[in-house]
Amino acid sequence: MTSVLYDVPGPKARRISLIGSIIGVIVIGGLLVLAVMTLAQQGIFDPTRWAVFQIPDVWALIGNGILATLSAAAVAAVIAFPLGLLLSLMRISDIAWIRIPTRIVLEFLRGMPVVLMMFFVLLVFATGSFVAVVAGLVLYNSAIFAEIIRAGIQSLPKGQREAGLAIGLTSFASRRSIELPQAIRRMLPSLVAQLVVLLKDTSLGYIVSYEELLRKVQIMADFLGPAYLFPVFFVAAVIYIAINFSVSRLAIWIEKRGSKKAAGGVMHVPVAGIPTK
Amino acid sequence: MTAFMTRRKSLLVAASAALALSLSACGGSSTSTSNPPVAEKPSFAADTTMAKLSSAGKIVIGTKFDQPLFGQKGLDGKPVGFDVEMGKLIAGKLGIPADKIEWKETVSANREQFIKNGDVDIIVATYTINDKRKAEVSFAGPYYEAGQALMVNKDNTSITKPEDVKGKNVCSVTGSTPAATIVEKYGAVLVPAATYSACLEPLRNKQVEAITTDNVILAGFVAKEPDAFKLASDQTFTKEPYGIGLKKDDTVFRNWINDQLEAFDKDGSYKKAWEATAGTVIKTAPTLPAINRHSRLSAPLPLRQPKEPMDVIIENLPQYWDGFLRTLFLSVVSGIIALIFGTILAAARVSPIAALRGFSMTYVEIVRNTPLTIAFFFAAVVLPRLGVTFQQFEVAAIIALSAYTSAFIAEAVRSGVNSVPVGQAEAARSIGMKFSQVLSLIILPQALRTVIPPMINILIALVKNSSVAGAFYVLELFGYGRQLANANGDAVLWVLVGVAFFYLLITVPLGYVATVVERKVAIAR
Repeated sequence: MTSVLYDVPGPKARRISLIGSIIGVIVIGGLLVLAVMTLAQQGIFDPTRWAVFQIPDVWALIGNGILATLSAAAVAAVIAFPLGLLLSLMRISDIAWIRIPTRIVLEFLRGMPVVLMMFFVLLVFATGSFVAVVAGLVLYNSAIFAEIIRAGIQSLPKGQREAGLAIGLTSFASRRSIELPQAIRRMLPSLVAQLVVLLKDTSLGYIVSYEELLRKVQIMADFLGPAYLFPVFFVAAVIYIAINFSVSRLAIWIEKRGSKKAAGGVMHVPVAGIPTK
Repeated sequence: MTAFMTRRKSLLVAASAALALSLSACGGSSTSTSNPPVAEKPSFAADTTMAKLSSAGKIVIGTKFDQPLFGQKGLDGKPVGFDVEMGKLIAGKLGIPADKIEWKETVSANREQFIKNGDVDIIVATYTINDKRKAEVSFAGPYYEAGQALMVNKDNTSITKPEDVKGKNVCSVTGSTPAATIVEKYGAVLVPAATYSACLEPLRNKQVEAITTDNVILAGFVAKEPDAFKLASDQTFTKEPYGIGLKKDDTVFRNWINDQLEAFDKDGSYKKAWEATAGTVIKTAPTLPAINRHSRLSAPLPLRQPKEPMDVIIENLPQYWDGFLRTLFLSVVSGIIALIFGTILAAARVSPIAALRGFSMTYVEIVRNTPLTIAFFFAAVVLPRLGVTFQQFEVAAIIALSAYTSAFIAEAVRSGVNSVPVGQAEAARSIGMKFSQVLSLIILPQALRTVIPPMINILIALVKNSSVAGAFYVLELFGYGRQLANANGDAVLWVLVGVAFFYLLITVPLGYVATVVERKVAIAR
């Protein structure tokens, strides 16, 4: 693995690097062991506390929670993406009376906490909690998608649009068939990263008491008693990380695949564990 | 009310074999199957709510899902508790069997709204009858009278009455009536939490001195952990008559429910419902309080001028401003820490030392994929267990926010590094620069410039994410918003518009800076 940032390490540098690595691993590992031991002293790893996971009902609840999380995220994403696409085109429209109001709306949506939007939809429009969660996520994420796509379009070399217009395409046709495909490809990693954010933000549904994974786990911990708080939260955290990690992997895979086609020179920085080309 | 719980020590020490048993003992599965008698084809005068519900054959009842002994969701997904039993009894009189009841979770903030919008038919949710609420909804009952109390650690002897908590940290639920009482009347410092059960950990870790809410809720906690907690005193310092909420001025329905409550008392089903639920830990059985048959207010409400909608914002400006400053403080401190730590992480990610790369990547991957609420949970609940103690919960919030945000900053900077043309690094190296020089003099300055707009977006997200701190013991703008929304049920829209305005006061200028920077500093391509 070579990098343009530094020379291929020689024997000395490799040795230093190895020593550094070992020290690093020992320090971090030591801290982790210390943390685990402290927790163990408080009986958190007591087998009885983990016995709850032998109850089928517990897994049924967790399963329902995952389903609720995924369904809210999926519905929100499916609505938010096209909306974001539309907003991004409006945001960079040549027509001022489309561009300027869109910009104001986007600034507004971008600037509001998701919890506030969910709470607002729930209390003011008196919807159910599912609708409130989805509406909050859509409002916020469509604005972010719009910003990402806009940044992608504007990061393209000017010549792309100029060439498009020069061969007689209309403004919209140039956006559609020349700029958007490149912009979306270029921004795919950010878009997928935002998708992960959206997925995680479903957990903010606690504010409107939408029973997604985290809320289910909380209710379960309340019911079972505080001794089970740590185990159930730990399992929830692991599940979240597993789901999001898979989506993130997808992003990296796309990034890798996309970068082969990307316009212009993209510098490849070595990333541990992921061979670049 | 005097309270009284059994010393059923066993619950928490129960071995796995006894688990199922102990679960049912906490008021769980055994009662969830209780099916009160269902009236056969009851007849009601046409056009009454009873007739409508009865002929529809189903009813939507709002209750709490996190209130031990009264309304708590069990593992099978069905709520159990005294409130739930009352709901079932009433449904039964309408000819609706328990399995045709749709239980809807209500939280303190949305109960009036749910009734007004017809999302629920009735609410049985430890719902205190008071004049302010009577202006919005009607109440049948009361069917139980609780009172506010304090719960402290077992070894605490300094707090026996509410006056003792002056200036001390007391945990309660954001926007709840007990929270307002303990602050306004007794001068406690409120540590707000999302639910009452979320208050237990800070109390155990001695970060708060007491938890306050209705005695019956606290008694439920004490019963589960008699070795850890106790009630500060058997005396309560407020009266909280629980009523059954229904649509305002539906007097016929209200009177009918009142009649049923009295009938339940006579035929013993009231007592039975109690014994099956709250009575498992609170031994003194309650008597049905005198039903309040007139809808008159206990005292005439002060004549309120018809208010301009904006008034609620102007009246509460000091609170908004305080919340705004707290949010700003959280965001600025966390933002600075995150920027520094995130840039270091990004540098580590491209460094020649494998361990640094590995650490940076693992950290970023884990944190980016964890919901913020879990990060907060670890900072506020698990860290104190590890011996990192703090009296100010702002510390936990800042730890959570900066640890979370720095992962995103690191990713942004890394993608910025990727966007710097290869030739830059090659040129720098060919004139003899070391890795640290290439990175700090050539790559990072250019990278940071291209990533300024995304970075500002991350900071904007940080400002908004700080609103989650409201659920983790920190009072900030959104927390104030929830309090105000609770206190001003009639002007929720404007309360929230006010909150939005103050968030925009931070985020819009930031967004503007992003645009300007993008235009001026970014490298033209």
